[in-house]
Amino acid sequence: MKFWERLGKIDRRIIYIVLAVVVIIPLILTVKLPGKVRAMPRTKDVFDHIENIDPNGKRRSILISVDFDPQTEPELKPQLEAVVRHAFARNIPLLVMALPIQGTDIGIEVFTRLAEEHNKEYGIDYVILGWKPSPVAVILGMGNFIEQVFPTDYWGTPLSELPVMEGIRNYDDVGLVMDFTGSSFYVYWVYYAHTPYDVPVATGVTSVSVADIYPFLGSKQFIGMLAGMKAGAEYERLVKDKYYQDQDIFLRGTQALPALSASLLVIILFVILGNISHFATRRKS
Amino acid sequence: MKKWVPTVIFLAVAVVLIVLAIVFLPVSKSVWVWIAALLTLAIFSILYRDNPIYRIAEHIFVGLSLGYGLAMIWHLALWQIALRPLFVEGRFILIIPIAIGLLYFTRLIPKVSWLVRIPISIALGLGSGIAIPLIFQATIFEQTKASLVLPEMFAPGNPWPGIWAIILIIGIVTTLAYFFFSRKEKSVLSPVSKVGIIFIMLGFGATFGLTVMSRVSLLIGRVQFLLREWLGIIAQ
Amino acid sequence: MKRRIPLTLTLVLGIVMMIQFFIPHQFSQDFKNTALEWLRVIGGFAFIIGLASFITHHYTKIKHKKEGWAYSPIALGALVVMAVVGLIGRSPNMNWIPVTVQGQQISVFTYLFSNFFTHMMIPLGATMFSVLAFYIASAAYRSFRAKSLVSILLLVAAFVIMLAIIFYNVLPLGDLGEWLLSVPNMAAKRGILLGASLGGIATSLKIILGIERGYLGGTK
Repeated sequence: MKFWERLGKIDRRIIYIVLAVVVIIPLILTVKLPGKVRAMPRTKDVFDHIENIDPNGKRRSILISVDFDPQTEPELKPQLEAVVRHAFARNIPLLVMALPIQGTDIGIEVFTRLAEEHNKEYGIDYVILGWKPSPVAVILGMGNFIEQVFPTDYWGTPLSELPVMEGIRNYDDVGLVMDFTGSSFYVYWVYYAHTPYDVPVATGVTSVSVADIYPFLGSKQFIGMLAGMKAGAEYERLVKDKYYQDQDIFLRGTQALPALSASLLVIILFVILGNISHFATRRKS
Repeated sequence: MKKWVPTVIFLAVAVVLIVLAIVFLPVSKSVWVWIAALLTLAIFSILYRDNPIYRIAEHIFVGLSLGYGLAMIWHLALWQIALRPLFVEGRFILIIPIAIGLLYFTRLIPKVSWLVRIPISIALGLGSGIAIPLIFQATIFEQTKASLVLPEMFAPGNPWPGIWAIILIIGIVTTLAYFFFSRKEKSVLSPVSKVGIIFIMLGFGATFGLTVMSRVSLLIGRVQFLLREWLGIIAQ
Repeated sequence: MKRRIPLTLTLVLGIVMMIQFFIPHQFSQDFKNTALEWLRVIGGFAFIIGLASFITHHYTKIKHKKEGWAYSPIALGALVVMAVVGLIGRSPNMNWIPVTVQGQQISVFTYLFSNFFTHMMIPLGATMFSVLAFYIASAAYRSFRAKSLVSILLLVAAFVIMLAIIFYNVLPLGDLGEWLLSVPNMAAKRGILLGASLGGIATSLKIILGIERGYLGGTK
């Protein structure tokens, strides 16, 4: 019977090592999961919405808000990169901003890298608006006039001098607000952008908040949602299949997926072991 | 065995592994990637036990974050939306909000520190006043509207959407009942709130499963960095 | 006076902003936009409180040689270095002490600032959170036991969601997970959302009416 007891008292360091191994091995072996990654309906909704934005129409731009800081960067960066690649492939003008202060430079890093990869030019194809204090006042203010909130871009150039901003005045000229967040900034976009100005809003979140988003999906206050690293992989697949068939682009989320599945399985296994031991020892006593 | 022996062995193994990596692997030649990798390992060292290397890394992070915030607030807020419009464009009306904002400094002067309440009360007053009607509309109104059971949900061939909509309503009502009435032990509504707890536990369970996935994703992201950008083991 | 002025300000501004919402007149819109701009300008100064308490915290730690005081100079040093590099490096048209990076001439301050962010702040912040993966795995193993009906429900829901993510491609489990999220989970979360919103609105009203005065701090 001692075996059952020991099963319930595995040292935490052994759990750490097992978890580390199941993360590292699938990454090194570049394991491929059977079949293609199937996109969840919520992910597909975001993709389809961006597909239907007319780059020459009235609502032609996408406002991307990088509302996460370094702490949740690994989970949200695959989503952000995939959406940016999609928009670049469709020549949609992008406005980039951040509600938490550190989102600004995460946006700058991602956009400088991807713009170079896709031959996009700053000021013509995209603009980094930057950050301003008081999130509520920022979101509401942009409904009136974006230039009133962001008189200049991040680098201090007046917005009126940037060709990308031509004809973009407020949310009426924005086809989608795409918020990426590791905290609860998504409710700000529902309350203060979608509710008063009726602009389509979608959110890319860490899996922690996924379950909390469903009420807003059911009420169609979000047109779609990207859920964690998994959705990053799904979106990469959708974008790659449609626009980058022959090109070799780095699919950050797709590469991570086997490791994600393996480690979740191992954690489930540990919980089952813990329960088996719990019931076996309880029956004895 | 002396107390420092495990640490020395640990460090020695680490050094040997790093040397082997440099010799045999296509490791990064960028100083910055090396700094990033060593800082990553420094944070991971907490898993072994609390140690000075972890503490140093942690304090560097806190300091850098605040320093970053300070620089950004100067450029993006104070200069771009307050001082530049005031001095370059001559919008003198902005003197008023700037003066109110400067009252935050009174926090540092004990005699007049109560003045810090003025900018706070203005921000709270404006913020609450703006929020109340919008939150009411976005949640109470929209969410209730979205929960209605409509006749077209019961299509002849597929009545399921209607059935789920009814379960949804039951879940919402019983959840609310749980939060508002569960405190009174023998309330008339206590059986109702017991149904509520089923929904709440399913919801929290889902959140827990997703939280596990979230944390693991972050770990994978860091391991991906170490293996790909630093050691170059996996494809670029 | 020390209490009355702030309380009056909150009351008047709160009520005015609520009334403003229902008046679509141009004057009302202009008032709102000015109020929002002022709110952003004032918000820019709010960091002073956080910065001041950070510096005093570490300063007193060093002064009194409290436990772990040796780390405080590191935090303060990092703050000063990052602030200086950022203040200079991110100024418009900055080109002091140029260095060549990938064929482009940029100021050494700009170069350091972006690298401090990308190669120090991101790895540190992200790794701090990723350590939680180990803790959550070990905690789930030790405390996630099916002891009662309630905990069985919790366990089943968590398993269904995790398995749905793993086997989304292969099994109908994916659809079960989607159902769990969009029916029972949505019901619970919507109930909580409605309750929390009512609570939030009540708190906001209390702040405006001066019943909730926590933000005044102290009793002076």
